[in-house]
This record gives sequence, structure tokens and C-alpha cells, in this order.
Amino acid sequence: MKIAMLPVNATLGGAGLVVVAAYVYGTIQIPELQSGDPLGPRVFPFGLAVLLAICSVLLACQDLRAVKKSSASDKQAANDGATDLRLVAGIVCGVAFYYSVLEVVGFALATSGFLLGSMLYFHRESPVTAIITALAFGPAAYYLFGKLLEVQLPAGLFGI
Amino acid sequence: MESFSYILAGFATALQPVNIWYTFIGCLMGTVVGVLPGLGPAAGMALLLPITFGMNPTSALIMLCAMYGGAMYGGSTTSILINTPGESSSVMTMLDGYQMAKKGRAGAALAVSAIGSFFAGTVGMLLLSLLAVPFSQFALRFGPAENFTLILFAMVMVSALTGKSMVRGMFAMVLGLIVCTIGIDLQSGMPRYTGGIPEVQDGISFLLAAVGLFAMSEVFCTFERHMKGKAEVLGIEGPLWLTRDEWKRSYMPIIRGTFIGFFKGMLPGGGATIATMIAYTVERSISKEKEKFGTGMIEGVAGPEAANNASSCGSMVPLFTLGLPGTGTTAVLMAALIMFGLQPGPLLLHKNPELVWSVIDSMYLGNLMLLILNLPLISIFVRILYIPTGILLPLIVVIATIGIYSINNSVFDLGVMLSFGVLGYVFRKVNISPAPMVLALVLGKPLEQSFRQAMTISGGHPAVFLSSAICIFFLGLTVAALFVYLVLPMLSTRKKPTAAAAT
Amino acid sequence: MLLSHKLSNTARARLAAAVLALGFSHGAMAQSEPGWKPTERVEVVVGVSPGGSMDRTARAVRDALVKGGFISQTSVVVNKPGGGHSVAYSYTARQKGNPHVIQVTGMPILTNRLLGRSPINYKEFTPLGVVFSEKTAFAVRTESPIKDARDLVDRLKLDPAGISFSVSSGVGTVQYFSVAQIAKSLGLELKKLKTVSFKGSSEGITATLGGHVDVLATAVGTIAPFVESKQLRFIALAADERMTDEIMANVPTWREVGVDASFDMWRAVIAPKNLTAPQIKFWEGALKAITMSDEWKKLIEEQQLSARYNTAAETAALMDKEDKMYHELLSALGLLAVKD
Repeated sequence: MKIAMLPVNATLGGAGLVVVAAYVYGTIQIPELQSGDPLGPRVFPFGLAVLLAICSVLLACQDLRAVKKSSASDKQAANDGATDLRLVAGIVCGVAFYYSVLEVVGFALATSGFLLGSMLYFHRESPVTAIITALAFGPAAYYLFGKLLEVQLPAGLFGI
Repeated sequence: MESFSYILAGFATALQPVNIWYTFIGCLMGTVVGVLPGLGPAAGMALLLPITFGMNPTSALIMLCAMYGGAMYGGSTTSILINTPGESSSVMTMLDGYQMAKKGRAGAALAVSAIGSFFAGTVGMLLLSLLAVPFSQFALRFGPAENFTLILFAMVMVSALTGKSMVRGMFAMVLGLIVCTIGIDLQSGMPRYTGGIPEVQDGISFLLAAVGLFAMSEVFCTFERHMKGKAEVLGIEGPLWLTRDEWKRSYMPIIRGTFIGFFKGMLPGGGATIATMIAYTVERSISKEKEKFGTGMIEGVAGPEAANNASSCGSMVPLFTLGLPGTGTTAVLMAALIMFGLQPGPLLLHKNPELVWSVIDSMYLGNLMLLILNLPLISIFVRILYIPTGILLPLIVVIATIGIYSINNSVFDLGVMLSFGVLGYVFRKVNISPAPMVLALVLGKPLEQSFRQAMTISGGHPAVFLSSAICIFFLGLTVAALFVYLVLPMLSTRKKPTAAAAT
Repeated sequence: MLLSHKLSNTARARLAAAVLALGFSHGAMAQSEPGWKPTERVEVVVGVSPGGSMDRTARAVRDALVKGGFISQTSVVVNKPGGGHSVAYSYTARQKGNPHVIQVTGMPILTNRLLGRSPINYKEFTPLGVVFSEKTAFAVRTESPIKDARDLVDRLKLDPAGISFSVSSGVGTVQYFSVAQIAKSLGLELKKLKTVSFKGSSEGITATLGGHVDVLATAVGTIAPFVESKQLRFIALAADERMTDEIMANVPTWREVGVDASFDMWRAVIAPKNLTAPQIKFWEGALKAITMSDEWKKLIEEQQLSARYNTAAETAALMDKEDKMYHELLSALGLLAVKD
């Protein structure tokens, strides 16, 4: 077992146990009342917590066994050779920013802005196509869905 | 037969030019809305409902039903092309449909889903016309205890999807069930795990999770590969239509799916999703190449798609004969009936037979129209696959955004969806299939609630789950399925060395 | 954060044309005094998705206000579903002093806070008026051994756990409270009673028709078609007086059999806080006018609702009174989540 390779199953199992702990804590917070059904709101969640705990332990055990057998499945599971966390974090932040300004500046504007940024970055072959698509798509989608199909999209600052 | 003359009269109404026009408009709008991820038939129809205000009730209902059909077609399109289910009943279609697209068979997947839907829709309508009245009382035999056993059976079917790594599948499924418990608990009225946030009091919508886990995480991973120059160009290989072999493999699943779907559709609870799950697992278990499911098997698209459409016909049985909607979509239809001043209820068929039969007959027409409309559209839709990755991916993000935002007009939902996207990304990296989690999200609430309803009625005695023949039947099936899907593979993996997991 | 929805679609245009053609001219009522009038389009907020019964109320209010010439044709219904209206409440409450946002609501405006579902107090709004109300009825399936309300009371006294009730959408709804009132009035422990919550009235009716649940409690208009088809049978009405229409005239109230259970599910229109006196006066007058219109009466008759109108001041008093009542009831049930 190399140190560099993350024991995926053990990590997952650990994460699962953390979820179990948080979930059990949350379940205890649910007030039990004098009325309602005989089982109450806590029984089912407790059952789920037990199930998840079992799954987590089983997952972790798989890793222990895998250490002996050095199974190949984990290597394939962990990576397809393209993981780039910084890139994904960047995209997530970009999308989050898009959502945070959506209701402020309006759908058409926010969308065109988001598209412009992401297309210029990801479609470097022809910036002109990227710019045209980005600028056209926001207002076009707003008109099609917002106006013709009555989807309630935010109009924002300029009412477009 | 009295109703026979109504059926004919219904065709006369449905074939009036104005109603044909509304059917066409409905099909078209339904298809457009259905293509938005997150907007399945129920949400799409609810959204389009205001457009029909002020129309005459028959035309309005005809248009709504056409939208229903259109949205169902549209939903499978996004499942196949961009790995995004429009609603829960498209999840099963997506499992093999998207894999087919990855292999260049998107055209065949779209074609088989159009043909399967058409066949199932037509046969389903026929069954509805013939059997609606005799079968009307059947759904009533399903009380909470019966519902619970049915949903339990469906949950065990989900475990069949967990593939080689059963523990991972169960892990994802239990996580899904846990997410289901967020929100106000129906039986006790107590908020659970809401943290005082009003937006989550009604629970986390399955759609947020599905679009996040499937579509967004796919976008993230493709971006990664794209920047490394590894993104595969999907494109089309072979004919756009079905090959002879594909056709031969599809027709039986379509027929089986139709009957499974129609039968399940008449029952309350779980909607069409359970029908598609059963159809998929049936195809998988009778196939000679079980292990290939999930890698682009056309049977895995044909069966569930047919079941999905037939189920929607089946769900009209309780709506029209009892005035009781069993699914989200029929609930929207019922709301429409009330809005047009009609009293939905057990007497709807007696009081307004012309209307009911015109609507049913228009659905035959709508089905045909959708087939004609959608087959040429396939060649347009598959062009989506040729859009350069750097342009397509941002567009998918925007389209998913429109779909999710329009459900509740809420930015909070978008945030939740994005979080599920990150979770889905992690799942992909550690090789966990998100499908069991998403299906658990659909079934978790009814599973818990029907269990507790039954326990309340019985005063806390679990014997209630053995109290009727239906319960015993489904419990028996559950035990059998457990044996086939869990116990048998465990025994056989002991003998064979594990191959690399495909899912 | 202002949401704008500019909707100009054919349906609305057609509706406008129809209105013009029919020559509705309630406009005169709107101009009766020189006070305030809306200067822009109005948002009618509602806390449910399109299609539900509260959504229908909101759309009826919007349409009637447009027809009466009180608000502009471009006014829209804004659906803000989530948290049992909580999302919509916080949306409206944020619009302090904005007279162009009104919300259609019911009892959750009081109970959400008491049940701990929302921190928003009903005092954070300006009540404008009650536009109608709905009554809760109790029914059993036709072949049920329960003969009538008195029989049900006798059976409950004998064995509180012998009867199961479908309280359609759960704890915190009027249906649940009316069963709770019955228990309280008969001196039974509520926990002993079997109250089963379903996702909606349709599921509750299905279970009752199938004989899985004994007694159904839900809105009169929802049960009526099944009574007409002789599948269900009314046994009692949770109201102060009997209703007058053909079917309901024979249905006794709970009071008549000595049970103190009466609830009026009123639908009110509210606005954000800090409205000026002329603005309140305008809305009050507009709501009064629409509830007197023939369309409104027809709507009430069709859906078996009960006509009811209250002025802004009366609505405020009603909310004060019912807030106290729910406070007591919920604390007696052990459901109270606030300490004040």
C-alpha cells in the first residue's frame, strides 16, 4: 500500500460516520410531542442512521481487505487521470456568483455575463463564436421562456 | 355499450380543426418545456397552466394533455443527450440512454424512446378506454399498508442497480433516504433538520438533487477532461434510426413495459417512477447479458420509456373514474378541471362524458402528432452533440438554471442544486453511482409516511403488513427480489474474481 | 431584490379583450374618492405552486381586481411556494411600505409562528380584508357502521383508539385542529386518537373510500362530489351553524351533538407593513367591491365555499382573537413552539 494513494473506501466510511454522528445529533433535536402517530418522528431516522453506520463500516472494511489483496478497482475508481480540483472549484465559484447576481441584475444580463466569461475561457478556438453565442443566448432564452412560456424569470435592473 | 358512442363523439370533437391546432401547440410547448432539465410533465404543466385560462374547458384540457405528452418526450431527450432527467421517471431511461449516446447511438436511443412512447401511449389509451370503468375500484384496495409493501418492493429493485459494489450503492441509497427526512414531518408536524430555514421545510426536491447529481457533476467532469484535451466528441455512429438488431431487441421490452406501466399507473403512490424501475429490472433480469446493463443497452431504454408513457395512461384511470389523482401530473390536471369550473370526482365521467372522452381521444391524436413531430426532431436534437464542448457546457448550466429556478422562483434552490453538483462530482471520483440516491429521494418520503400511516391505523401492530393479499403478494416479491439481487450475487462473487466495476 | 415579471401573452390579451367586449365597468367604484390608486402593476403573492386551491384564490382575486378596474392588466400572481407559505410571508414582509404587493393567505399566517415554522409574526403585515371562508366537514364511507355524529361520539367515548381519522394534510391544519377540538371537548387524550395524515385531501379520500381509514375530515367542497355519487356520507360540520344549500342543510354541526368543534377557514388578503391610510382604504374598498360582484358569488357557489367579508379592522381583530385561540389550543396539545 503506497502512502500516496488515498484509501478511498476508508475515507468514505469515515465521512459516512461523520454524517451519522451529525444526523443522530439532529434527530435528538426533534421535539417529541404528546400528539401524533405512535412511532413518532425519530424512529425512522434512527433506523437510517444505523443503516448508514453499517454501510460505512462495511466500506471501511473493504479497504482493509483490499490492503491484503491490493485490488485494482480502487485505482480505477479514484481517478480517471483528469482530476483538477482547482478548475472545478473555479467553475463552482463562477456558477455561484452567477446565481448570486441573478435576481439583482436580471436573468438576461446575468446569463450573458456568465456565458461570456465561461465560453471565452473554455472555448478558446474561436472567441468570436463564444461572444456571439453568449450575448445572444441570454436575451433569447429570456424571451422564449420568460415571455412566451410565462416562466417567472427575474427581470432585474433594466427590466430586460 | 353507451360509452362507445361517447368515444366516437369524442373523436369528432378531438378532430375539430381548432382542437387539432391546440393539440399541436400543446405538443410543441410541452416538448420545449420538457427539454428543460428539472421541468418534467408535472412542473411543466403547472407552469403552463395559466396560459390556458380563458379557453374553453375542452380545448384547454386537450392542450394540457398534449403538453403532458410533449413534456414526457422532451424529458427523455435530455436524459439521453445530456444526462439530465427531466423528472424522476426519466432516471431509468437515462442509465442506458446516455451511455448509448456516448457510444454514438443517440439517434437510436431517441428513436426507440419515441416509438416506445408512441406504442405505449396508444395501447395505454386503448386500455384506458376499455378498462377504465371495470378497473376503477381496484386502486381503492391500496391503503397505506399496501402502498408501503409496494414501495418497499421498488426500493429493493433499486438495490439491483447498485451494480457490483453493493455497499456503495446502499451507501448512496441510505444517504438519499436521509435527505428525504429533511423538512416538516407529515405525521407529527415537526420540522426535522431544517435549521430554521423556511425553504427546506417542504423538503429537498428530488429535482434539485437529480439535476445537481447528474447534469452539473457531468458538466464539471467534462470541463476537466476538456481542459486536458481529453473530452470525447460524442457524435453519431451508424444510422440515425434503429438498426435491424436494435429493433429486434427493442420490441419485446416495449410490449412488456407497456403492460407493466399501465398496471402500475392505476395504483397510487410513487408515480411512473416505480413502473420504470420495475420495467428496467425486469429487462435486466431476463436478459442474457445482465452485466451489460448500464453500458448502453437498448432494452434498458425501450422498456422504461414504454412503461413511463403507459403509466401516465394508467394514472388517468383513477382520475377520470374516481376523481382522485394518484400522481403529481394528474393532480395538476385535476386542478385544471376545477379551474375550468368542472367538479372532478366520481361523477365526472357521468356528468361530462363528452369532455372526458374528447380529452382521451385527443390523446391518441397527440400521441401520433408527437411521433411525427419528434422523429424529424431527432436529427436536429442530435446536433446538440456536435456543439463544441466549450460552448455546450455553459449552455447546459444555463438551461439547468432556468429549469430549477422556475420551479419555486428561488435562488436558494439553485444553491442546493449546485451543492448536489459538487456532491455528484465527489461521487463520480470515488465511483459511486448517484442513481440509487436519486431514486431513494423519490421513494423515501412515501416509504416512511405509508409505514407510519399503516402503523397508526393498526395502533402500532406490524401485523397490518400481512393483513391483505396484496400486502402478502408484494412482501413475497420483495423477499424473492432480495434473494435474487442480494443473496445470489454474493454467493457467485465468492467464486469469481471481481471484474472492474462498470457503473 | 425586486422580481419583475413582465407578462404579455396572448391569453391575457384575449382575456382583456373579453373583458372589454363584455363591458365590465366596475371602474366607477374605484374612482369614488380622490385617495390613492396603484401607480404600477401589482404583485399578488401566494405561498403555493400554481394549481392548488390557494393559488386559485389568488388568481380569482387578481382577475376580479383587474375586472373591477382596480389594478392594471399587467398585474401578476407571483407563486412563492415553500415552508407552508413561510417563503411567501418573508417575501411580502420584506416589502415594507410597498403598496403594490398584496398576498392571499389563510390561517398559517398565525400558526406558522406558533408551530415554530417561521419567525414572522402576523403583526408584521397590514391586514386588508377577508374575502371568503371554507368549512370543514366530517364524512364516512356509505357502508360504514358509523351511523351519524352521535354514534361516532359514543364509539369514541367507548374506545378512543377504535376510530381512525384522516386529517388530510397533517398536523397544524384546520382538519387536524378540528379533530383535536373534538378530543378536547369529549375529554379524551388526543394521543389516544388515531389521526392519520395524508399528503393531500385526495390521498385521504382514497384511503377512506377503500375502507382503510374510518372518518375523513376535510373541506366541504372536496367531499361533496363523493357524497353526490353516494360513496361517502357527511356526518357533521365543524361550524357554528348549518350550511344552507341542498346537500348540506341536513348535515348537523358538531355543536348540535354537544361537541365544541368549529373552525372557519378564512382566506384573507394582506399587505406589507407601513402602508398609508389612503392606501389601506383603497385596498379595503377594492376587496369589498370584488366580494360583492356576481362573479365572486358564482365562484363561492361553484366551489361550495362560504361567503364572508371582513373589513381591514375586523380582519386585524380576527387575527388577534384567533392568534390567542390557537395559542391556547396548541399549548393544550403540547404543540406550542414559542414562549410568549
